[in-house]
Amino acid sequence: MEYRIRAYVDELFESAPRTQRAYELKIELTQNLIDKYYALVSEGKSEQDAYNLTVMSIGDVRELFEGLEDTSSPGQTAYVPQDHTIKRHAATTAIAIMMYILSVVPLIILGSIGVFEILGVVIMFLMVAGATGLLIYSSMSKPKKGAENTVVSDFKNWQTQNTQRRQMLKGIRSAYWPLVLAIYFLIGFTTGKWVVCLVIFLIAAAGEAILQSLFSMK
Amino acid sequence: MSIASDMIRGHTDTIILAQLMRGDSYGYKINRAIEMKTGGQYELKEATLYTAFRRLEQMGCITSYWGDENTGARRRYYSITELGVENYYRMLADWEQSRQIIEELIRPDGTVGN
Repeated sequence: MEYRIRAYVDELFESAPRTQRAYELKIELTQNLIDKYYALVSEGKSEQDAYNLTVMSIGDVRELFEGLEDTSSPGQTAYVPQDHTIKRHAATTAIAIMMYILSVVPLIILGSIGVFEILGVVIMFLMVAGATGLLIYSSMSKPKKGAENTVVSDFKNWQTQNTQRRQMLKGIRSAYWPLVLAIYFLIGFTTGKWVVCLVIFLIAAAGEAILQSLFSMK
Repeated sequence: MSIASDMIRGHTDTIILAQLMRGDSYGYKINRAIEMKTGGQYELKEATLYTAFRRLEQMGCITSYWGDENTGARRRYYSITELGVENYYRMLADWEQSRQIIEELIRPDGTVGN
């Protein structure tokens, strides 16, 4: 029955803000409910009755959750992305996309002059690589969590691992299509057979589907 | 009973401070004491209790710390501060005054006093 109480509190806290305070409150509440449950059982209540009474005694949690976003309290650390991090994230993404677009410029210029065509390709690759790196970095570093607290570290570690994996996935995904576009331009410029190169998009779409199913299987 | 609960709810802070005047305690123990004291007639909802804890902590009336039980259960203990004690006595005085006024007002004229 203890796990049912835990599960109930877990569900209850789904709607709570994701702050240190909220986690601490959750642990505190869970422990007190379990105490109450065992007290009721020892008084002779059936397990089911004790569970029902325990759960009913929680009351309306909306008021309780309202204050959990309060930043004035010392024990609390933001788990949500902050304003400046969002701005930085937007800036890095913008720069990365600009690099993708501009990466073909040296190739076009050098190509039209007719010298150092290879250099143009190299520069383009470097810019694409740089832009991809930026995108992955920005989406992996986006929501940072605050300082560890021993009380909830176990739980948060688990939570963080989960989010980190999701962030990596997002990073890969956001870099995928620009990369495909870059390859298209690259092969198009070097071979000149633009129509044939359109096949790349079909392959890329298939590749995306395969990657997605691979990741969701993990 | 629901009217009585509503009335008592207005004094949640005083009730909790009164419990902490007897020494540091944690959520369940405080609520248990309240239940015992009233013979099972009154008990705080968890949500009410923790909202009050937070309010009192923000006011500086109580402080909290995590206990280190070796049974694996981790409890957050609360203790009353000097300001809390001060506030408790003030609330008590307020209540005494309200009680006297209500006592006067809810009787038909002439039955109490004078």
